[in-house]
Amino acid sequence: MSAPLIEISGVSRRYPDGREALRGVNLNVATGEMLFLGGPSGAGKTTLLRLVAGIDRPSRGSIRLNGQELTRLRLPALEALRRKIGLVFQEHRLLFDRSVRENAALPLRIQGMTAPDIERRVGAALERVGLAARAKDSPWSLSGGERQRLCIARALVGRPALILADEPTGNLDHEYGESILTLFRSFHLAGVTLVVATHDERLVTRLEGRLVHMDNGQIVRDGARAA
Amino acid sequence: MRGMLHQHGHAMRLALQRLAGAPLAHLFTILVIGLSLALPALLYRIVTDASALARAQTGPPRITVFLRADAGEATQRAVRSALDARSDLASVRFVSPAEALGELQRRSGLDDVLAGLERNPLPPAFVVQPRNPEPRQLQALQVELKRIAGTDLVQLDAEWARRLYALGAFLERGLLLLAAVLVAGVVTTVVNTLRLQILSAREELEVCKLMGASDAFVRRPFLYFGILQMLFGAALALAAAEGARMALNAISQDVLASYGLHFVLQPPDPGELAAVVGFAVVIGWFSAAWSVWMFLRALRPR
Repeated sequence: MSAPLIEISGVSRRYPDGREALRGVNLNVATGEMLFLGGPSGAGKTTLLRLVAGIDRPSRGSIRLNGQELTRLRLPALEALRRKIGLVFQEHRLLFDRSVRENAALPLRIQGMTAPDIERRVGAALERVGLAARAKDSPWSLSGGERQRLCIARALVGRPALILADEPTGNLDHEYGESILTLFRSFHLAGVTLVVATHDERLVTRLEGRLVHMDNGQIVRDGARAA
Repeated sequence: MRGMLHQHGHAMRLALQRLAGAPLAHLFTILVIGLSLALPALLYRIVTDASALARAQTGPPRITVFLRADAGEATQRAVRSALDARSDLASVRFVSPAEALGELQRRSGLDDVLAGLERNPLPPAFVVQPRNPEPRQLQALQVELKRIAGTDLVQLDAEWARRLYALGAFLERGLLLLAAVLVAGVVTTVVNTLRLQILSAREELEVCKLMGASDAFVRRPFLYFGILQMLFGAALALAAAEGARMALNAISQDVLASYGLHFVLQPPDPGELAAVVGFAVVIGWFSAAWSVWMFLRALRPR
């Protein structure tokens, strides 16, 4: 068993309106593991991903990422940590006034990489998700599945050791959803740790990985392995 | 280092793209900035040059240090040494009793009366020119000169200097007040423009922050944008002020010539040009930094 990359202990998250999105969550994710967070909408999956990414802070509890306690990190250190994580958002969050290539290059620009390195890495990432031919196009011209693949290209272009994906198949039909998950599986085989939130647990049953089911801000089932 | 240069190049490119993205709207903003800066710049030039002209017409302030009538050469030398040692005096000129009497005869026209005097009643004196024309400094200097051994009377003809200084101070304060109001207007305009820019780029900035962009990365294009906008505004202000200066010179030459005065508004010197450019950079930087800070504050992890 590998050492945990993510250690979540007794984490709760209460929003300013008093709603408790997470209640005493405990979860470890090993390095190289592929973990699916299942459960209905409002179960707390997105909140948990945001806490692990350091976008929000827990109200109680501890989150350690690669041994670093996130709750104690100051903002610049938290941002530096976030630059090493690949994030896939449920609502894509693409920049529609930029080309496909520019969207994929954004994390590298944030890292301060030089133009030739950006060009090389973006080319490889778009190739990986099958969008190399669309590099100069606007995201407007992409289908829902292609936009999601562009999001994945943007997440993996920085070669992260950890990818956090929030409902990556949420708006896609079954066929596209499966192609996305197959893509994730290839990352997993390459040694990347994946935490994928999805409300469609049928999709993940065909993949190897650990399934953690959440409901009402708590983990109600852990370790069910997809068959 | 290359990465940092690359980031600055990218930020500058983004700033120029934003400026070019809505050229008409930004042109009007730059016009507002330019005209708001041109007015104080021109008024500063008028006040400065008019004060210099007034000083030239009235001559520098002078203080006359009268010695006792019986002061001998030794006393005169001692007083001279004491005056020469002072760094706050621009010049010291000795006026002998004979020279003073000759001057009195020439100016008063009382040659016969003065010729009838048994002896010259006028005392030896020194006429000194202070370096600082500020009325309070002149009065303090007068008190200090009275303390020099051998002096009898220290006369300061400061009324005209006081009035001139008061007028100059009034104009300078009025100019400062006007400049402050106009600069506040410029800052408001620039901050508002930047706020709109930030709002239109909100999605992009949020995505960048989610991906771990530092505040500096997010702020940089807007800093360039604010500085560029102010620099264009400052260039316009200098051009407008220069145009107005030349127009005023053409008019004032005819009017003042009839009073026997020669008055020409001078072009800004390199120091003044540098001050305007520096001021524009600081205001542009400050406005952008503040606008972005307000936006980023809302995105902090809670």
